[in-house]
Amino acid sequence: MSDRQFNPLGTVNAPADWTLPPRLQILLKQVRASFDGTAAGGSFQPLLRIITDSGHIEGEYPCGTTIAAGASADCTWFPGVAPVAAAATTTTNPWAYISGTGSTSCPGSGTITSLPATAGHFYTNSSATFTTGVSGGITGIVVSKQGHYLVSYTATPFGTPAAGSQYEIQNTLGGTIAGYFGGVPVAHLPTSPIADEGVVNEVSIMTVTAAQVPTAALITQIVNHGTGSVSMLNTGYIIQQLDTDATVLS
Amino acid sequence: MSQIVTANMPDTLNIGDGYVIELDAINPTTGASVSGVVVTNVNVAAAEQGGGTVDVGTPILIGVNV
Repeated sequence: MSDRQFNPLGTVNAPADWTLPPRLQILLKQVRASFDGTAAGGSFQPLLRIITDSGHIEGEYPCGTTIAAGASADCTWFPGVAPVAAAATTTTNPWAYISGTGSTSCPGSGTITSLPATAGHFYTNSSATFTTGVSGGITGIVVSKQGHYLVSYTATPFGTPAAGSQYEIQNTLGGTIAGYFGGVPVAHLPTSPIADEGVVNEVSIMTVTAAQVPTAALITQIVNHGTGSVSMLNTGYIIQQLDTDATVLS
Repeated sequence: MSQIVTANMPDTLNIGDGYVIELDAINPTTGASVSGVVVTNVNVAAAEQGGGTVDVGTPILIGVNV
């Protein structure tokens, strides 16, 4: 038999019921209705519900789109419509940053000098992952979750270093360099007096295991291999959690 | 301005006498009906199956003389 169009109900409050009249049997091809939510008691989803002649619910078909209270929608049901995809979940990796405010003299002859940072220059988007702490009297960042971390840290000479200054930068967790991918930071060794442009930077991937958390404060150090001292400023380091895997990289 | 939305339904909804097509507005979290929503412009497109109205003409009485 041919297709037919039915326009029952008029204007009614939801739930709106249309009971099929006697001797009518149909194969549904499409249902459309307007939902005026101007006076809705809350956000809603239009729903098509089929109830059998014995009063049992045969099927319920929500439209999958939530309509805000006060808004309206024209909803059409028909076979073959792909389900509404779930909204993409945006994930944000925890990160933290800290920097220093004053310079520190770093003597030569292989001396290791920790560069102070200040809690007033600490920023993070996850206090559950990063907090400030003190290690050896030096403020740094404490890591409270296991995982792999990308760490980038910098320091710059403050003024002109003495002749013979040779220095490298490193980060340390409680006095030991633990779990860096690719080994310890590469040395930067200027062999002549340099100006402020002699900033040193290192990037590494660090593994923090479950047994290490919460870690000792992560701090920046300068190793001066030269004969002269150099005054260095901690210009900040940023640490970002890459994942929660604690497999030690080597 | 109404939002235009589409939704899926099975292609096998063969329903008949006494069945109810209900259009409701539900809370997306609880599934409970939301009050204050007005339904209008309901349109149902369907293929009519057997059991529909049958037109019947005027009966003809045939008499046979025996």
